[in-house]
Amino acid sequence: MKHSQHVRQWLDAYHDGELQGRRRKQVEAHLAECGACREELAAFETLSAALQSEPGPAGVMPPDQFVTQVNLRLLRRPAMTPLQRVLVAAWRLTPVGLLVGWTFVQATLLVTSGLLLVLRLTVSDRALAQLLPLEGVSWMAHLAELSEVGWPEIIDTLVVLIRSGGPLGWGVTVNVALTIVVGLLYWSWLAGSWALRQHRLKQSANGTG
Amino acid sequence: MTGRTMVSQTEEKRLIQQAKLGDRQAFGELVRQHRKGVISVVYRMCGDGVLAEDAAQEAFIRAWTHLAGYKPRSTFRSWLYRIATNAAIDTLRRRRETVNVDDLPLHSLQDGPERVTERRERGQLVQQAVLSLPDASRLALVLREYEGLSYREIADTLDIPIGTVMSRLHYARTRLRELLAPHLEDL
Repeated sequence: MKHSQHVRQWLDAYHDGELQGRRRKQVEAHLAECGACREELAAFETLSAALQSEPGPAGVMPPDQFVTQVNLRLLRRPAMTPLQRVLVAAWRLTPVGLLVGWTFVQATLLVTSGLLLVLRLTVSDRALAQLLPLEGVSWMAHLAELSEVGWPEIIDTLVVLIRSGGPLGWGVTVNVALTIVVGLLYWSWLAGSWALRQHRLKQSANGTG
Repeated sequence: MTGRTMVSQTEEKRLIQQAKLGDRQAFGELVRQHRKGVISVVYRMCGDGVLAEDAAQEAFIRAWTHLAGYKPRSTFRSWLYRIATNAAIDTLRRRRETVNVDDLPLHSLQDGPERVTERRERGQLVQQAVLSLPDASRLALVLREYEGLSYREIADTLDIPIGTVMSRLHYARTRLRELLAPHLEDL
């Protein structure tokens, strides 16, 4: 490295032991051949030694006395009530609860769908109709009738469609609705946590500034 | 990281948890562990031992009050020093209402080296030069030179980027070298 490429901008960090890897080696290589930068580094070391020559506070009170004084000045902070502790724990566990609840419903829907499939394959249509009365309602048929009827019939049809589980069937409808609700609750929890955190930070900044 | 450091960090975490639950004895232990550093930081900022002790106590009381807001993203020491530096600045602000610290007499810096013979006087010379620095660069310098904090810890303590830490440190050192230039070899 040429002397013109001095490393003065890195000497503070080098002196403080904050340079690592390639940059450190680069500075060391330059220092080995550049007297000006070596002098600059020596000046940092002299200054540090001069700063250390300032002895610091004299006659400070012993540790025990200091701790006692701080204790005497401490405001007695009331401990959290059991109810507050439960609320804090419940808030922290909310995401876990949502996940567990969502997983439980998903598992239930999956098992139910499996059972229905087994029933379809093993039980006769008549017996199935007795077991599941709504299964007889075909949403396709109701949809086909819409072009020929007025608003009262449309509303009736929609009610029947809803009762029969909608065009996608109960499983999918419930699944989508549940996922949306869980998502909304989770984002609300995140927003609430963020707001709470900002409030605490503000309190902390006010208290410390 | 040494085993001992890990143990002491674990112990510190335990003390912080207990203190958060209102255990004053655990907090007292944290005070005992960090007392020296906090007093030192405040003293280097305001230059008065009595004021420093008072401001350090104030810093610990603020720490107790806001302990629930402490998150272990930064070290407890960084968090505590942040409170301590704010307490020091508050102390300085109150003091400036009666005495202008920026106008502290620096005439001794102009004295010849023959007059700067006693260790105490040399210390005062350095102290006055440090106290004449702007608060922002003085804070960075104190945390680095006297407390040995890493750039990362200083950045966390002062809530500034590492690049700003470096520029403040560089400014502080350059200014100190200018101020102490006639005496550096005697110091």
